[in-house]
Amino acid sequence: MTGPALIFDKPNAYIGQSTPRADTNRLLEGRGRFVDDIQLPRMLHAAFLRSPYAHAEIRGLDTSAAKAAPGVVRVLTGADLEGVVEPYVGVLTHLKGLRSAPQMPLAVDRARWQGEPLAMVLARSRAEAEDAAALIEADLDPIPAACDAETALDPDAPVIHPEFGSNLAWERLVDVGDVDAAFARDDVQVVSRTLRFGRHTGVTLETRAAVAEYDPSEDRLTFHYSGQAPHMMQFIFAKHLGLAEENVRVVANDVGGSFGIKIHTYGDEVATAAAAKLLGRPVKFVADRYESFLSDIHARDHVVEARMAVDKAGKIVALDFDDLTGIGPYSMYPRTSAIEANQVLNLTGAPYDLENYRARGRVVFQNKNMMCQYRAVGHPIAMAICDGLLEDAAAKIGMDVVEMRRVNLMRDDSYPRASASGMKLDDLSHQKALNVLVETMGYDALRAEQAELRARGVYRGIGFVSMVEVTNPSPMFYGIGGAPIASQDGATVRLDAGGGLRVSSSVTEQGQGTNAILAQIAAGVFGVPIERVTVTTGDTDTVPYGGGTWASRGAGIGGEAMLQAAHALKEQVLEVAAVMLQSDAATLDIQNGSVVDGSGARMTLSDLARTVYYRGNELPSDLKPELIATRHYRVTDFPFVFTNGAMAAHVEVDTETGLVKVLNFWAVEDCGRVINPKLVDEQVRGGVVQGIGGALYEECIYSEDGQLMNATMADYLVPMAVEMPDIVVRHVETPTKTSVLGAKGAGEAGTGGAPAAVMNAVNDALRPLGATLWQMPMTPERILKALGKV
Amino acid sequence: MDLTFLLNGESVSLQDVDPTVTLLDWLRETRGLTGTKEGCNEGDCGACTVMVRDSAGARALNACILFLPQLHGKAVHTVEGLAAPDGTLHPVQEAMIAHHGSQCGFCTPGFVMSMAVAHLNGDTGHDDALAGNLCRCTGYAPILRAARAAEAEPVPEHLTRSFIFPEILEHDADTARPAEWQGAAPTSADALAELYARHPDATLVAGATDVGLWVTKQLRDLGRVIFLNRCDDLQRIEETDAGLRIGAGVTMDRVLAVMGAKHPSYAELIRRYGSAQVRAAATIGGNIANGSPIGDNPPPLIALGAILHLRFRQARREMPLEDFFLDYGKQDRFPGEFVEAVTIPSQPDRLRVYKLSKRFDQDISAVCGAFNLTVEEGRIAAARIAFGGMAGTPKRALHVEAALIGKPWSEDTLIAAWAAWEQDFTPLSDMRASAEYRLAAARNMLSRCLLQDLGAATNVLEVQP
Repeated sequence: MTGPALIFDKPNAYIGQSTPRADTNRLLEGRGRFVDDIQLPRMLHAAFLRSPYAHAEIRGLDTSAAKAAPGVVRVLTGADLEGVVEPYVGVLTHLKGLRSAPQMPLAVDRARWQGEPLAMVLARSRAEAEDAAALIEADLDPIPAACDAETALDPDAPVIHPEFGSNLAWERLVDVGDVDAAFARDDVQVVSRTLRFGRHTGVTLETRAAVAEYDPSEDRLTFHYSGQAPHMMQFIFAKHLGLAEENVRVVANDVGGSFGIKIHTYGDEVATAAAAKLLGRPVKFVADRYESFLSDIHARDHVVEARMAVDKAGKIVALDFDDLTGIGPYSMYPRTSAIEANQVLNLTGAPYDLENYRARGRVVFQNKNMMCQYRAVGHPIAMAICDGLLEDAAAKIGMDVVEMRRVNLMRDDSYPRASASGMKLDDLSHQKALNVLVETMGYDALRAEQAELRARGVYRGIGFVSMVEVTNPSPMFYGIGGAPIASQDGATVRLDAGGGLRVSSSVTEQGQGTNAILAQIAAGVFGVPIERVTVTTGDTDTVPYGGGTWASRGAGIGGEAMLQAAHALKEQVLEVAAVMLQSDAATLDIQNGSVVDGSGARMTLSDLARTVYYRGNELPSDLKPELIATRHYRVTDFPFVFTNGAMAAHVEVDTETGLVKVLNFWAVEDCGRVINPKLVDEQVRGGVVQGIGGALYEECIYSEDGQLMNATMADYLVPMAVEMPDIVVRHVETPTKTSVLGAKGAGEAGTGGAPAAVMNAVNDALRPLGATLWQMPMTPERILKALGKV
Repeated sequence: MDLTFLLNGESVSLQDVDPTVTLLDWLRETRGLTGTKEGCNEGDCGACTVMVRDSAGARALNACILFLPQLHGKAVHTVEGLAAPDGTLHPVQEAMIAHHGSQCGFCTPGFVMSMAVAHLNGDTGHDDALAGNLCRCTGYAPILRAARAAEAEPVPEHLTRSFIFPEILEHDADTARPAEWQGAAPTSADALAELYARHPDATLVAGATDVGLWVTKQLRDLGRVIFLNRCDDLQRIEETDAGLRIGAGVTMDRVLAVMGAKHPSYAELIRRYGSAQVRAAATIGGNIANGSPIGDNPPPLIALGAILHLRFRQARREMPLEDFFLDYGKQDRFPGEFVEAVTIPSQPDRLRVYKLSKRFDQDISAVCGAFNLTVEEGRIAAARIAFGGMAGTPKRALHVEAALIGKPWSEDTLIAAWAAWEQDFTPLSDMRASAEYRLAAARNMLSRCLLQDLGAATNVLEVQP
């Protein structure tokens, strides 16, 4: 794509610089505005009674004692919300055959997972609401549950939605080339493995939270929420609470981490909005940590049977797998819980030149908390399948894993092209990224050290991943399937009378630094010092319409919209300036807050704006100055823009205790143009740490009857400072041609790639002992079991 | 209860405070200071970390499990009071901005308060000082860089002023309603003994790192509460003829400090199982009296032959610590009787402690083993071995010890002792580990002990001095 020239090397171009993040002072001084910090007059607090069983008939809920408890204003049950909330169903038309049952915010006849909300108490304080919730007498009849995804399709498994006849939610098959013939060749070696990926979850430091206000005089709902997609929620509240869409305002100020957890429709949040509407009073709901573990969406939960055939030269001849994933009792609304399996089918093997590819995905209902999109949707599974088998095959044929990648990775000069699964790919740099990685980590020396230490009984391993990351999705991701999820985003740039720039954008900030890069782009492209830019995001009343922040789209899509808007405003301002200065707009520029020409500053922006706003009489009457510009942007030529990366982990395995220590981690990332290097590095590092968490520590452990056993931060293990290695980040920059800015996304690569790299490293350490492990998290006990020591 | 403390430099006097209101709830809901965050409400995440100062110095504490009466006479700083009165940011705040140490910003106030305490105390062990703070966005590296960058900066003037506050204030507050304070927060072990004997159903609160969760997580009404933090005589560490006597009210950070020289393996264990915030609040007496089967503190104490001192009114009794733990959730303690102290006999350091957990720092142990072996001329002359996580109580491995004593310190002896393990332990399978893993790991710990003595290659992952 072509566009405004010279925007990247102007004197005050901020693109490419590590400017400090916007908002940081506020956050450092404890002046963040998170949802739980909001106090409104007459506000009530909500607490929920949740199902203690994975599967139970609700025979009755006696709320009389709760209603009489001190401070209680109202108690609502599922029946009370019938007719108030229109049920919602998590399906998308382009995922053909996907089915899910209508869902209500509070369960009506049957509870289908431990933690499902059954009743809501509204009281003057959260403590009073909690006390009263404990007084609700729930007559629940536990019934057989289908908790284990691997047996949920068995003929004798309890069927969670009887009307479907089975627990199958969706199935898809991709079959390219002739897989069976490839495996039957007599010159190939075959490796086959069963990979298991445990459930884990986001553990955002700020739990989900909502404050709903309803003004009956205007039939207007304002919903302050800790989330990622305000316009999506605006549509959902309007549709399901029977309000005009323009009468719903959704506001997301500071959001304490999200990672995909806060982009779904949760019953407790819908009930909060419904209660505010019913009572005409503000209602606050803040999940406590226990509720958070029970009800924030979980992620992964896949079992994959996979095999790969390679020839003597190390060329992958065929890849074949069968993925089974458990999603809980419903497909989450509105993004659905089939997207992850779909991504696994789309992305597996995408970095490699692969002709014969077969992938089956099955998505099944089960009586556990719902599973849905979390950071790096599907990527950890897709990368672990292909790169795990690749390194396994390399070991089998005695080939170095880097060499084997060089044989199979798509050539950097071979784009545009498609992956085996049909994904359109362009502007990728797998071979170059791998070369930078190998050089950065000192690969040969590490291998030598590894051999020397092994001789002394110290087991270290080196593991790699070559990966793609989906970013900047087009309407082909959700919009095509009927979801109220915008793939385009808008930006508005306004020159204020004081010469400052007020910008707003429909992408949102949950800690990624969205606001920082928007300010950088606006300041640099338009031409003001960055201190003169104020950024507004996350308010459907004031920002342009758009999708919000997810799928690593903030910089690539929101950033490009901002670039276009800032450039448009600049042209508008120069047109005015040319008239006022009686010169040619083509000879003028804006730098550091002033209109300049070859001789230097001619007029400050403040002078220009004050003239326009206050003293229009000084302007020719045929001049119609516009000091505001809005532009929107969407990706049109591709379903997604892909980034690529290469990563490596270096681990030591204690073969007596099974503990793994990650000694080093290296990540080479090609996210196109880097807008703020420090910010991108920290996105990659933070992502890698979450990936290491999934590989080694994090797991939602359920009992056989569907009880979550470790729903506290003491028992659910997120990575902490001391375990984390120094993570070295390097960049290759191949800008995407789909935009002027050239930025792809960077938010998820670490989480998508690190698990495969860690798994490969652990298996590299274990192989000399005749063992490998294909289950995440790779806990000490699982490692000792793999070694046959337990 | 009425109480007084300093909050960000201002004196705060409160009347008729419910003794189990937490500082976090009070700050956010009553005082309107919302900078201090609730991330877990159980002392695991550190988002609520505040600085608490008294004449003993400055500590980082978790406000979510800190009851207001524990602050009486102290000075509290929250994130809102960290910058200088003229608005100049604290050096750790400046460094966090420069190094991009804050992303979503929710954990940030807790991090900067932990960092400010470490900065004030000249503590540069950042991994350790920040081990009680969880961040989900950054991966920690930029935060650690910020902490290092701020090291060289001077402590801001408003945090260096001499601390004249507590004596005066405590005196004033006490004279306001003395009877009430004496009934809830005695100032000596004698007074406590009398009070607890009269109210044996009361809940004793020392550091509240566990009792706090009874309130915030189990939503329990504690009834009568007796705070121990003002019993100065329970907070002494003394060298006696019998050994080192540690008062029940001594916090684990002080135990860590004194064990650093005496039994470094024990000290490292303390560092690992509790964050700075937890160590500064939790007491050794609370830890023992709590009787958790998976507590990490009892195994090393039992292996060291610690003697427990119990007291009911003026009646005192002593017992080997292992005898105190009768059964799961049951200790040898009469109503109204309390832990007064524990004595660790003087001895050369031979202690080795191994802690096995899925995560290295601050994870509940699958198995915690403590080995105190005396080897003379190649033979095991004496052995005290104790485990947590292997039974319903912290437990000594008496059969294993017997199988070792008198035998050569060799692999053959370990093999010969193989069966003794199953006489000592029939561990449970739970979500932390299976019974087989626990037993295998316990045996491997003894093997590691031997290997270390033989100078064989060992790993960096378990507790070592």
